[in-house]
Amino acid sequence: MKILGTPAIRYLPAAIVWLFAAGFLALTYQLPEATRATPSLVGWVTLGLATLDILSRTGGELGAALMRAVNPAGLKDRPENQPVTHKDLASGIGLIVALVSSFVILGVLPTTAIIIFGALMIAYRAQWITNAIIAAGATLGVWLLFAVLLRLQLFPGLAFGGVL
Amino acid sequence: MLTPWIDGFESLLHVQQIVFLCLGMLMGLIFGAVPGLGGTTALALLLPLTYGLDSITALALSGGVMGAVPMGGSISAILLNTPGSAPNAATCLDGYPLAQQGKAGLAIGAAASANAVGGLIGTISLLVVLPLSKMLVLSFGPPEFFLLSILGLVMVATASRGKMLRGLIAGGVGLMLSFIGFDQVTGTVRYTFGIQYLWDGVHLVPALIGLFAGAEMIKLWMKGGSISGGAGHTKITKISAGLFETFRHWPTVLRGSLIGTVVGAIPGVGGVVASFLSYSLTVQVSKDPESFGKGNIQGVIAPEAAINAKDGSALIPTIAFGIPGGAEMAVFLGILVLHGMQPGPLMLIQNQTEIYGLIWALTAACVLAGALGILFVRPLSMVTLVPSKKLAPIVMTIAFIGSWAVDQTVENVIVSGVFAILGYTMSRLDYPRLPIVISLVLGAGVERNFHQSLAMSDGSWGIFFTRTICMILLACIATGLFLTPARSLIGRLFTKQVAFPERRPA
Repeated sequence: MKILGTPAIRYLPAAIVWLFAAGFLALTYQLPEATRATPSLVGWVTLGLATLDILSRTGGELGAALMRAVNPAGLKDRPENQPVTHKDLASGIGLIVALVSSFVILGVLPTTAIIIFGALMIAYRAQWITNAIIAAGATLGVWLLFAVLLRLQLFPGLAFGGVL
Repeated sequence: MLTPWIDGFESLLHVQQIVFLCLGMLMGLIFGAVPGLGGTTALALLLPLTYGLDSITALALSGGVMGAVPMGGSISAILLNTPGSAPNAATCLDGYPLAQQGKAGLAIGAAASANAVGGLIGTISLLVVLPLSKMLVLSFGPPEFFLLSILGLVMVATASRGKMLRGLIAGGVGLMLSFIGFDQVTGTVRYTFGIQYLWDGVHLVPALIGLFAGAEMIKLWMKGGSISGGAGHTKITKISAGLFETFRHWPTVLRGSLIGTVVGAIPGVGGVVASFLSYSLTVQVSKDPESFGKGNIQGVIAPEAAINAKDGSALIPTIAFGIPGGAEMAVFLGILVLHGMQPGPLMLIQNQTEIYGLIWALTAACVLAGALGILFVRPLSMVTLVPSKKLAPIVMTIAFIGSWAVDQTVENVIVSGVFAILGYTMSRLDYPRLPIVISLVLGAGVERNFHQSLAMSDGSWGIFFTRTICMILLACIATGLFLTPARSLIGRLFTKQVAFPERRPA
């Protein structure tokens, strides 16, 4: 689907920023006047900039002229923005989500072992012995660095008595 | 006048400081050599680990990293045609052809000595400019500091390679995030949604770890494969001859160092501009421009001198005004804050020993990193052969544990995770990440100075338009905002010539 000559999906980033700024302003106006002076100023400016971003994404002369003037890099595809597969995207974001969840639930040391071993197994299924050695080595390194050298009491995880 | 210099030097003359300086250099060389890691990730990873160290040791460690990263980057650029960090891309243009001709040692030697000389000139400029900037910064009041912060943001957005609007938007979003928590002026709690952790605002260190180390590791994980091709059996000989090449071409090294010094002091412009500007100017003034791109040693010396000179001068806006000029400086600023130092006028007065200690550490790192790089040249080139899918989960896990270690708060890890995904998404959607960090750093100061300015003028905005320094800063902001449209217009009117576009590495 196209809106003003541009596929609707291309408006998405600018629209998200616009909604974020609008939501921020809505929250800001619930604050006392003295507290909201700077946030409201920043909120309105960002909303204006996001509107400009949306306009620069439209097809036609206005959009192209705006894009050329304030965001010329947007006119060409950058190599880093080549499409990634859904599988790659899911594994990249999934790794972060798994790391954070595991850290909160299981704590520092089990997370180090599980995440590193799990990630290596995804990438190199056949080399499970090497993967296990790397994961064990990294866990030992983390324990030595944080528990022995820095003398920190490692977070045990919510499952083992840790608290937020 | 010399007392702070001597105190700073003496503060480094302890076994612990020297050991950590060397550790920093080693880490800087490794992270500099591996494309995708770089100095920012190294500092982000180190940041929480410095928590248990005293401030001088932490600065020695950071100085070691910052001084050694360019040398690590030049080794992979010369041997593998893969720049360790973006500024080293200019070194590939002549460094790799030299390596193909069997003169890799010559190029590495020249890079090492150019790095050292460039670094020395950069730190000398820092030593000269800091006392002057101290005088300048003490004449600033809240309105000037408010406009200076805005100028810093505009400069960083403008320098975001043709993405000014998106840079400004990222800056705006960063400022909004910086308003979370206690309002310093009225004491009201804002935008926390009942989460007690957010009362102190978005914690800077976990955010930095997520935005840089986390996001970069997601990219590295997705990229997969080996980070670079092998160095094969490239011969590394004639290193000592290379060391002297720099001094034979002293105008080139001097020009590169001066370019790096000037460019480094401008927030947001960064090492890529410094190195390519230095390279292009060297080609233009050369009597034999045709030889560049085919293995001219000056094509290695010019960018390398500029890259290291930039590091010293980039500390000027960071230390004197609290405005980090780039991602690496933003993370470094996080280290300063973590150790109780507040960059800006107060730091120039209260932390002189630490500042000069850092300058000495940086100077030592610039000189010694070359020697260390030459010593470990072969293992460093091998590091880049580690598969990214093995490296990414290890670095990411350690970085996130480091985020927790800052104040042993598990919420820090969640913040790092959120910012890692945000950083990756911004990178994919072509929004620069640096302005968001600069805003997070500057946000509290912006609000405080804005309130104080209005209090000084009984609520009148006229205060920003009636003081001389404010007028100069406003003129700079306006210039910064018109720079991208003007550049775009000029670019359309005149054809741009790029030196050896076909040889530029991806």
